[in-house]
Amino acid sequence: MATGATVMGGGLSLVSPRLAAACDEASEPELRAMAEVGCRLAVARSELNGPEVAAALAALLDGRFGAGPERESLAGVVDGLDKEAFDLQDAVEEGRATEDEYVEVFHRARAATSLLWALHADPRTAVDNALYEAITAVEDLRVIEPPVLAARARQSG
Amino acid sequence: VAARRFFEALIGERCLPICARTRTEWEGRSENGEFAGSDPPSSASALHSVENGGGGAVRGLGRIVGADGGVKALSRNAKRLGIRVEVLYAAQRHAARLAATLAEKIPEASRGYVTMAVGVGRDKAGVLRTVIATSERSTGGGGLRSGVREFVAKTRIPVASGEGGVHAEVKALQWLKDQGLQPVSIAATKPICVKCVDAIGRSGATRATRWRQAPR
Repeated sequence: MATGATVMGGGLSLVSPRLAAACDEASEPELRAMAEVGCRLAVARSELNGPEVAAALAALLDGRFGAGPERESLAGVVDGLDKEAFDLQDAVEEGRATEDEYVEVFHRARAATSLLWALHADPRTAVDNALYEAITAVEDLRVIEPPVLAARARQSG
Repeated sequence: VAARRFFEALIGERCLPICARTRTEWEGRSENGEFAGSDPPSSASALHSVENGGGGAVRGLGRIVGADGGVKALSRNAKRLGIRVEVLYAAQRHAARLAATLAEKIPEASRGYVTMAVGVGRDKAGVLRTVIATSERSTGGGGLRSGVREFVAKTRIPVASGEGGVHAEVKALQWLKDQGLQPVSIAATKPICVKCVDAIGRSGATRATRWRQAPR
């Protein structure tokens, strides 16, 4: 059953109006399933790993949303990756690093942020932001949209 | 009236009187970015009406802090761009205010690292259009920080795409060029670097916010 709230105007509509529209109609379990698939795809594609990521994924699969030690640890990972990406961005500008090196870390930072958002207590905030970040991490809608929509269909079916 | 006459004397041009109604509309539009959106005809009307002498407003007549030069430079730049001084003033003010809004929207943790730029360009019909750009990698509307993206989704202001090593100001200028728009003004959430000041100057646009000298 749909929760009735709307995510129209959320960031997701900027990158995928189709997913944003699907979220509008989705129930809470469907939203959670969509966010989970999106962020897991981003994590896999960006080859993000580590104990904090594993713990956060376990929390996600167990349905432990909201504040918690896993989220806190993962936030530290996000901050670290963001800082690394910012430093690399400067290095690219100064000719000390390549765009590819920056993009790799940038994508990993966005994937970690996607996972962090997926653990948010509010399912609508979680899905809108997790999918936006997942799409930014993967930069290919064809990779994200079909599996996420399929996850919703599976959940509702 | 006295302030307007003083301003007119300084720039050697007659200004339109301040119109409260237009001022209110303008404020509303510049706050939510509606006039600056992708294409709605009504959205561009505030600036368009200024250009056509439809009761437009040069609000306050004060100098925009950080913008290129003073009122004489404003007049000179308006002549160079072939637009009315009120339009250039309004464009600079809009760009500066939008940049200030974006600066507030960027999450505090990334504020020191992320720069966002606002570009205002003019199409062949004289309508001003706005774009925003980020210093981070951005493709297809992605790459915006939370807070910023909700604002952009609400206002529908176009976002320039670009790689991570390219400055936001340059991305905004490139977008204006790609759209066939005459660059009018550029603003940024952080002081504009020397290279970007140079790029803005070469494009013919004016700077609407502060710049910073290169570190010695």
